[in-house]
Amino acid sequence: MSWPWRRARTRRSDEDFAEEIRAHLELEADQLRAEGVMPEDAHTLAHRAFGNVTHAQEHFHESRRVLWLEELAQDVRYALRQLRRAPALATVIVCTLALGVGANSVIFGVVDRLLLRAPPGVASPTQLRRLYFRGRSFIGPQGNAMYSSTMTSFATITAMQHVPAFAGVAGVQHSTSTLGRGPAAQQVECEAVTGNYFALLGIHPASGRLIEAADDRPPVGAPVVVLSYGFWQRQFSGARDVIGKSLRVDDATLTVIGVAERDFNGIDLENVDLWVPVSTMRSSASPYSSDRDWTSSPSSIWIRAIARIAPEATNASAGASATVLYRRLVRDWRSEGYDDAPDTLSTVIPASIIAARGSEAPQETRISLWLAGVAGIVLIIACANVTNLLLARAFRRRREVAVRLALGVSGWRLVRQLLTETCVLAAIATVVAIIVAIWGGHLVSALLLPESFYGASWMDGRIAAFTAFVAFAAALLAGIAPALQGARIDLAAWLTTGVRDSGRRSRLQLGLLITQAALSVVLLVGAGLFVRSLQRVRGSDVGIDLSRVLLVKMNVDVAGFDSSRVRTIVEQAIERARRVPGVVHVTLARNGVPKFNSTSMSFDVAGRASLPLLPNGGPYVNMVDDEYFATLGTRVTRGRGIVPEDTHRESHVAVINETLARYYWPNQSPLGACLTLASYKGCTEVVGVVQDVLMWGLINDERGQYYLPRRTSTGSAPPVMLVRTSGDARAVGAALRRELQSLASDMPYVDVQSYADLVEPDLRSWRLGATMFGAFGTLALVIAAVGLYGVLTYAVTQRTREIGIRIALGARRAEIVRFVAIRGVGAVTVGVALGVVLALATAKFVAPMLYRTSPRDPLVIIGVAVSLIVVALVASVVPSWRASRVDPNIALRAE
Amino acid sequence: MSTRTPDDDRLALLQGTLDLLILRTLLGGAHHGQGIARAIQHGSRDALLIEHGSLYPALQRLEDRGWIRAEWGTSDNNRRARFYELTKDGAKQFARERQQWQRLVEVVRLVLGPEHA
Repeated sequence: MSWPWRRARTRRSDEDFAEEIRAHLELEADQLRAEGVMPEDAHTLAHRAFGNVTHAQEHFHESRRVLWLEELAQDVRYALRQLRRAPALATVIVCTLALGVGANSVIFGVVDRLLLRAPPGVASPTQLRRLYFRGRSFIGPQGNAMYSSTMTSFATITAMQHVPAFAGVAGVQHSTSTLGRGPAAQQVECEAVTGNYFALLGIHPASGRLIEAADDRPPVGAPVVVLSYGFWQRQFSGARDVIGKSLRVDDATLTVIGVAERDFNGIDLENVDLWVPVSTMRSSASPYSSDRDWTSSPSSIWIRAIARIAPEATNASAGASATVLYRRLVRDWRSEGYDDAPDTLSTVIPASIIAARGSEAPQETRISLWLAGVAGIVLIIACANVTNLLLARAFRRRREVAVRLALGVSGWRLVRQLLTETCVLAAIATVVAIIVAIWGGHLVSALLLPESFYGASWMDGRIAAFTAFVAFAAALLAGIAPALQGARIDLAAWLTTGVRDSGRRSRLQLGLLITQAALSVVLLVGAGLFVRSLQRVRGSDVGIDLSRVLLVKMNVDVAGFDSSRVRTIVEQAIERARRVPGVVHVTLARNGVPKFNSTSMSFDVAGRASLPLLPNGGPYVNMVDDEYFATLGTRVTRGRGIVPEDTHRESHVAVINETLARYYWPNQSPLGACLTLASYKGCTEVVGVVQDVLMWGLINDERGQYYLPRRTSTGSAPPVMLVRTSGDARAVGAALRRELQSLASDMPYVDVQSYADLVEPDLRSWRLGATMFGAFGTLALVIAAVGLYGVLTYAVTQRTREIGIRIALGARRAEIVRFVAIRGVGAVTVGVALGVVLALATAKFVAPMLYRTSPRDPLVIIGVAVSLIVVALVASVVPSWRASRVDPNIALRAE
Repeated sequence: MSTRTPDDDRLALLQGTLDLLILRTLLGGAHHGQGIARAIQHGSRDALLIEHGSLYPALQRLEDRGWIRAEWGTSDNNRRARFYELTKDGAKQFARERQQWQRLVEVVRLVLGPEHA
């Protein structure tokens, strides 16, 4: 075995070797002469016996290298020299690759974290399951749709412990709590967990101890709290003496017993600050809560179940036995008189611990998978482009290649060298792509995902490895055809006539160009459709002036204040809020929309035996004050709204929304109709109709809603406050919050949010779609334009002689321009036509993600087609102009 | 035209055989390249036609592996030449290779079976 360094030391020079061969030839000639050969023939014969001297020398030369490594080093040096010789081309190739690959890395980062990675920190995540409960919904009297949810009752979790296929079942509930009181009060993300939660997940403490079974003893748990590592660092700078400190969380005083390990931040993507035993959280919860029997009531659904499957059990058997137990449980509940117990035919589905893989997957999951597809298309376009550019370069270097082939360099060696150049490009592209991915990752995570999603750093080894892998795979894919073509020059033809346009190569180029154009059309049409959807979502009338309204939650319900204290604070708050500059209206309501405690409460209509089914359950009720509609900006379309008299005296009136009017009173006026409520058996008269107000989402949120006057005497839970501002609500929000936070020294955290911020997550999917499709589409367009430019420039170079002949024969400049441009523009037009067909064919797949936009929107499709052709024309301008400047004398003499 | 087409199978076999022949030749003492070529040709009673040029890559390879070593010296007729001689490793290698070769020959003969008339 010989080592590279040893060989390097004993390296023989080529000259030394040449001398040896000379000596050999002399010796042979001497001997031949001695054998009687004529002296003048001796040398010839010696040569003949030796064979090909050059061959031997090259062989020697090759054998001198440390196998592939040294050869590679030389190829890399050679490649770098080649790249420096054509820096513009190299830059375009690197940028094309880097953008294409970077886009994929960004999306991979998202998909990886959403769908591929188990929550960090947990032990044996493959055994962990989220339990989904699937059955018919009983929300509202008419609700009858199948639903699947992770939310269940505590009683179910208790019962599930007896399923032998489960090694254990834990419960977890996320809530936003208030920490501390008065001006320093802040919001924290809190999780109520069962005593076995940490043990089940296999979490270790970073300090102190974690919540154990003994801490969680319903109905009243131990007053303890565990901090997340991040919260410990942020809030206490990682101080060791934090153990034993007291924290005021909502109305409870809890003792810090430990800090969870660094990696663990709950099993969801959301950030977690604190963990508290379920029984502690429930016992300290709102005094207004009617949920006193939370441990046993099947209708109290608020907790999610996490199970660890026993090592010997399969998913199917665990699901089956859990379902059997659950159905028995449900039948028992029903026989005990719980009418609102779940469906008796419910099934329990143990699904992946990764939330995005379950049926409650966020919209982001679907979109990110779409984006993965889109990023793939961008990469294909980039590859096609790189192939085209490399082909053009291979053509430009045909002379050099031919000379090297003539000198006896082997074809394989040439291919290897060309591929090495491609790999060097890929390596540079990887570095640039990582930069692109870091930058793009921040952009996407800001657009798409909760803040805590990425933690401190976005880029990690996995994504970097993915980036490098994709960059090299793409570069090799793009480089293999040009490399093979480049080395396969018909030497005889070249030496005799000079290389002519090879039909196959130009067909390949045109094919690639058409592909690029077609895919660009698809992406840009997608972008256009999302932009239209986003515009329409933004422009849709949701019944609230989103930018002008603030939602204020004072959290006095969790502060442990008695009802008279609550009333005083609410009254003071209204006074203070009215004095804040920029505030126009202040009003109170039982519920704040959207997404908050919407209450479903059915009623009968006098004289009607039955009522039609409403979409999305309901009807939903809210108890509001007289300024409510004015504050939100909700239009009263018929009759009147709530007036001050309604709230002050016992007047029984209701205001309904358009959807309710349309479903319950089609083709007639609902005004004057009598409603019979559960709480009041007399006639509650419908006095007005208002437009629909968004509840859970910006779209497809057609829900029956009605409003009753809010009565201060009957409202048990404290109301939310709604504030209308004269200008942008966000600007007033901070001042308002400061004002209200200082209402009392023991004031819990006052949460002030603008409606614009509240609905922001709902806009996210369209914004993301519009941004990403737009970015990717533009990227594709730029890449395609560069590709077209490259191909045309190449074509002009290649046909200089032909063009020269045409000019010599009297062709006009305009004809030459047309002659050149028609080729590229023609290809792009074909590509555009194909792309339009493709876009129309795939339209039905995008349709569910659009909003009031046809996936075949003619404006979008025509706009994209036209702009692509315009881009093609622009990209053809320079090469065509250059062609028209060809000097026939020079062109004809050139070869 | 082209350049030589690499025919790996043939080359590999030839190389292996050539190595063996070179080692065998050097067993008798130091030789220069031309001398080795002649010796092999002579030893094979001219049945083997070796391009002298193909000898050198083989020599180089053997030298790299440490089975032979080389030094510039003077030939019988006073020409400068590079002389090769077997190293200890080379002698061992020769023994190994010869054994392998003989086994190969045996095995091939076995497979081909008895000659039919």
